[in-house]
Amino acid sequence: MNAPNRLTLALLLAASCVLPCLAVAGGLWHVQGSTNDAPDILAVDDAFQLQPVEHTRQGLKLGWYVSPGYYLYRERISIAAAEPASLTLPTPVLPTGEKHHDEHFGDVHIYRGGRYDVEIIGAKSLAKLKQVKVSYQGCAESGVCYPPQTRIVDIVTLTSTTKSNTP
Amino acid sequence: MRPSTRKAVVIVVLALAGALGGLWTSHVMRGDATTSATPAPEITLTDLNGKPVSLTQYRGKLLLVNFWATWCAPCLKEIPLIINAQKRYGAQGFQVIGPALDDVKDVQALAAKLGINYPIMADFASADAAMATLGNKQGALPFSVFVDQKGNIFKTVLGGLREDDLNSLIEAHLSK
Repeated sequence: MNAPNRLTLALLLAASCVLPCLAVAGGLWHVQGSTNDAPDILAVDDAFQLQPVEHTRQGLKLGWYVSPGYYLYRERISIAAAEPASLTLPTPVLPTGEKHHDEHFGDVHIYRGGRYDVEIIGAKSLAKLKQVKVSYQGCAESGVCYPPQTRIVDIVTLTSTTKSNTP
Repeated sequence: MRPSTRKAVVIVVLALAGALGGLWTSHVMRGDATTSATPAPEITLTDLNGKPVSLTQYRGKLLLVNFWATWCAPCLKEIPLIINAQKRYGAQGFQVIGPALDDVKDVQALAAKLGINYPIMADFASADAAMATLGNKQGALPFSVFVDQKGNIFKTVLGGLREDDLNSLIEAHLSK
């Protein structure tokens, strides 16, 4: 085989490798783009895994494991007494988080993928507490946000007993 | 031609035939996807005065149902594009409605600030239920549903809309 023939053959071989890939990719793109465009996102409880609430020597400890590619808003976390509801909780100590500026929300702080623990200091006043109401809200980096979540968490059994996604 | 060269040419021809087959398949699949519209289910939303709003009352219009909320940054980012689309194509039969998973008070304030020029609804429960019926099982926002003039859903988008895609889609369906 002479040199020009070898070159032609090499080009044809290269094209034969690339074209099927382009064809498949083109097909997938068109199907996705013309009917349903949806990023593959986790269920909210997998994106923001609320950890068990524990009594500690200082008071209470709770937290989240935020999955990679997701974030929680620090300013949208609230923790209140649920049982007995009349108990006023001390101000929780929240991790500082990452500064984030949003044109609509202003300067906020977010918790990106990782473990974030919250402490509520006040061992004596918290001794009678059986349940806490935890509210939070976050988004996926892919550009969608989950509705505000509220969980009533049983401190004794360390399990979530009721759930609601209404604010 | 040498046997080795002939063998190589046969491989190349078969691979190219496969590639053309793939391209043809993708074209066919694209055609199916754009024509396989689904009838919009009966869903009822609640307007700012507490009155029910049905999708069927917009039959004959090219309808965009844009679910949003005041706590959703990507929603607020895309709303100006939707306002522009309503302004630009409204006279040609394009209509947007914006059910919010939110409180009436919060929605009214933000709608006035953003200058929303289409009907909005605010009731978390009915909007959330409508999204689930329309296939958004995670309840995430923003979520847009395009319904053609015959009441068929031809596209849903979970996530922000892009202006060029939005305008192209509207123009393509208004000309039908």
